Amino acid sequence: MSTLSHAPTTTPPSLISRDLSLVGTMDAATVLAIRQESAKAATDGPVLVLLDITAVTSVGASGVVGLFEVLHLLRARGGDLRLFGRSAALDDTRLQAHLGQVARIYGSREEAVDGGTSLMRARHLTPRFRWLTLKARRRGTFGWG
Amino acid sequence: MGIHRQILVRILAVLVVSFGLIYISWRWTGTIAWDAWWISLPLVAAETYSLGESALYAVTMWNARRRPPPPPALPGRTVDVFIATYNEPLELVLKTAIAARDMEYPHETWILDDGNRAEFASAARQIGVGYITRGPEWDGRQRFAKAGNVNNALSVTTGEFVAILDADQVPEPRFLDRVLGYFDAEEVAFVQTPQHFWNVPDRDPLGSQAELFYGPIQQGKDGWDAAFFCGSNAVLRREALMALGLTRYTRTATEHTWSALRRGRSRLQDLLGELGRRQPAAMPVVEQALEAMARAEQQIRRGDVLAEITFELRVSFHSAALAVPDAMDDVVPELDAVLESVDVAHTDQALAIHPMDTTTITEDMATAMHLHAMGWGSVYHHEVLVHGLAPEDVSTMLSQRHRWAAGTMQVFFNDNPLFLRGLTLAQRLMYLGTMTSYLNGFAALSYIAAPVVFLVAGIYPLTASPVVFFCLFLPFFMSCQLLFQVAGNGARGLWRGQQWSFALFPTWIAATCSGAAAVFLGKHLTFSVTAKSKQATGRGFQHVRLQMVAIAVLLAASGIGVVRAVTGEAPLYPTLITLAWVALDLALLGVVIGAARYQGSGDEQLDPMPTPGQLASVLGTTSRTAPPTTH
Repeated sequence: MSTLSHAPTTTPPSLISRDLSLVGTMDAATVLAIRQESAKAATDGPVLVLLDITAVTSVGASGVVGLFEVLHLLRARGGDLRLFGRSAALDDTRLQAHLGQVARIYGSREEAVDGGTSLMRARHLTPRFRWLTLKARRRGTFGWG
Repeated sequence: MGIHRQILVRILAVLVVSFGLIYISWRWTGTIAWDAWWISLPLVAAETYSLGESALYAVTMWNARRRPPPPPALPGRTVDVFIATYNEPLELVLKTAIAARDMEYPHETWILDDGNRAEFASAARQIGVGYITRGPEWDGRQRFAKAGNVNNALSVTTGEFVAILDADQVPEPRFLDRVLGYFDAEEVAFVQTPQHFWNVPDRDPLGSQAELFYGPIQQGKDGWDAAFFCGSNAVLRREALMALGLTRYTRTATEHTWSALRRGRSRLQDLLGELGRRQPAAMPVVEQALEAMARAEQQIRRGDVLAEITFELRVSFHSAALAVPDAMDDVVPELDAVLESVDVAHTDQALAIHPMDTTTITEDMATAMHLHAMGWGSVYHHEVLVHGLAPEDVSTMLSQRHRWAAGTMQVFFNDNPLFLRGLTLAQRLMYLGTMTSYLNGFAALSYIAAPVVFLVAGIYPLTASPVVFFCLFLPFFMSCQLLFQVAGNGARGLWRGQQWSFALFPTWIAATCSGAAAVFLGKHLTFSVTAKSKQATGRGFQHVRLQMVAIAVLLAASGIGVVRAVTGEAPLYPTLITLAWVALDLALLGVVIGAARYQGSGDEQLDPMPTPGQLASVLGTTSRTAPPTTH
C-alpha cells in the first residue's frame, strides 16, 4: 500500500486529528477498542489519532503491544498515533521503557499535535530506554505493570 | 517419580557419567588407529557425542518432577481457545471445534483458518464459535505459517489465556479446568499437556506416541523449570507472550531502523543513478529523500525518539515527492518501499509485533526458550486431556520429523541456548539436549560405517585388546541402558524410541543441513503441515530406501566378514564382536521395515472422543457453501 500517495497535500502535522482517550486498564481489550476506532477513523484517509492516557490506571504488556498495533495501522494508512498526558500507572512500570524506546508520551494535546516538528519546544520526555533496567531480572515482578 | 526411583536414577546417572568418562578417555588416549584415521576419528567422535547425549539425559532425569494435582481453576478467567487449521478437512476441524466449544470452563473458541475457506466460516457460525482468517494486511507479506496464524489471532482477541490446539487435537471437557489452576502462580507462562494419539496401534510402528518425551523427559525438563511448549495442547498466558513480543521488538527497534535506513539509502542511490539516465527531472526528489535519510541517521545517533524520526522522514519524503508531481509514478513506489522498511511500526509487515517466534518453523520451542530466558516459568501437566491423530504412513511421519528437526536445528544455529542471556545453566542444557539429539544422524553413520569397514577390508577402527574393550565399554553401555529403563519409569516405546532415533539418520542429517542452510545461507525452510489422512499408501519402502541400503550393506558385510573369519583372513574374536555390533545396528534399523509396510490403523483403534451429534447436521448444511466471514 502506498503511504505517500495517501498523504494529503498539507504536511502531516496538519492531518485531520481524532481525539480518543483510554480510561482504566490499558490491556488487550481496551486497546483493541482503540484500534477499532482508529481503523474506523482512518477509513477515509490518513488521520492523526491523539490518545489521552491520563486516566490509565494500570498497564499490561498486551496493552502496549496493542498500542504499537494501532501505530502500525495508522502509519500504514499515512497517519500517526500520538499519546499524551501523565499517567502515574504508566510511570511506575517497566513497560514505559519499552514504549519510550519507540514513541514519546507528550505532556499535552498541543505538544502531541506538534509531534516533534518544533524541536525547540520543551516537551515531557519519557525516560530514556535503558538496557540495564530492561534486562535486570527482578524476581516477583512478572506482572509487567 | 518416587523417592526410591529418584535415588536410583541419580546413582545410575553418576555411573553413566563416570563409566563414560573412563571409557572415552581410554578411547581418545590409547585406541585411535591413526593409520585408519578417516574411520577411527569419526567413530571416536561419535562415541564422544553419545556420551554427551547420555550425560544430558542423566541431567534431565536427575530432577524429574511429578507434580501434585493443580489447584482448581479460579473462576472469572477469560480464555480464548485457538484451533489452528490450514488444509485439514472440515469434518476433522469441526469435531475439534465442537469439543473445544463444549469444554466446561467458560471460554471463547476460535477457528483460525489459514486456508480462508468459505465453508469453514459458515460452519463456525452454525456451531457458535468464532472464525478468524488473515485480513488484507497480510496480502503480499510474509505469513509465517502457524506462528503467523496464531499471532494474527492474538491481535484480534483479548482473553487472558490462550489455549492452542491443532486441528485434529480433540480436547476433553475438563481440559481447561485441569490446567488453569497452575496460572495462580503469576510467573507461569504456559502449561503443556501430553500429545496422545488414539489411532496408533500398540506396536506403534511409526513411533508416534513419544511416551518417553511426554512423560519422563518433559517431567525431567519441568524439574529444571524448562518444560517445553509443543505447539498444541497447551495453555499460554497472554501477558507473557505479549511481554516477549514487546521485548524483542524494542530491543531490536533501533538496530532495525538503522539497518533499514542504510539499505534504503543504498536503494535510493541506485535509483538516483538510474534516474540520471532515464528521468533527470525526478532526481531532486531522490536527492531530497537522501538528505532526509542522512538527517534521520543523525537523529538516531543522537538518540531521538524513533517514532518521531520515522514520521519526520515520511513528512520529508512527502514534501519532496509533491515538489515534482511528474516524478510520482517513477519515484513514489521506491520511496514507499523505503519508508515501509524503515518505519518503526514495521509497516512492511502485517503486524508490528509478533509474540510467537517467527524466525523458525518450530515456533513453539523458540517461543518457550525466550519466555524462559525472560524469567517466566512453565509447567508440564502429565495427564492426557486431548486426543489427536498421528500420521498413518511413513512418508507423512518422515516429513513431520524433518520439520521438527530442521526447525530445531535452525534455532540451534541461530539462537543457541548456550549464548542466550537469561537462561539458567540447567535450562540451557535442557534445550541443548533436545537440539543436539538431532546430530545423532552423523553418529549413526559412523556406527554403520565402522563395522562395515572392518568386516569388508579388515581395517580396525580402533586398536585395543577385545578384553580391555569389553571391560571398559560394557559398564558404560549397560549403565546407559539401565538408566534409560529406570528413568523411563515404565513408559512404553522406549526401545521403539531408540530404534527411530538411530534409523532416522538420513532425516536428521538432512534436517541439520537444512537448518544450517537456512541460517547461514538464507535458504527458506518450508513449514509442511502434517497430513491428517493417509498419503502415498503402498510406497513406504521408497521413503526409507537409504535405511534399506544400509541394511543391505550391513548384511553383505557380515557375510564377507564370516567368510574372512572362516578362511582365516580375519581374526575370530574381533569379527564376532563386530558381528554383534552389526546385529545391534540391524535391530535398530529394522524398525523401518514395519513402518514401510504399515497401512494405517484400520478400524481396530477406537476414537475415545464421541462424535458430536451436531457434526452431521452441520456438515450437511455446509455442503451448500456460504460466503466467508473475516473477524
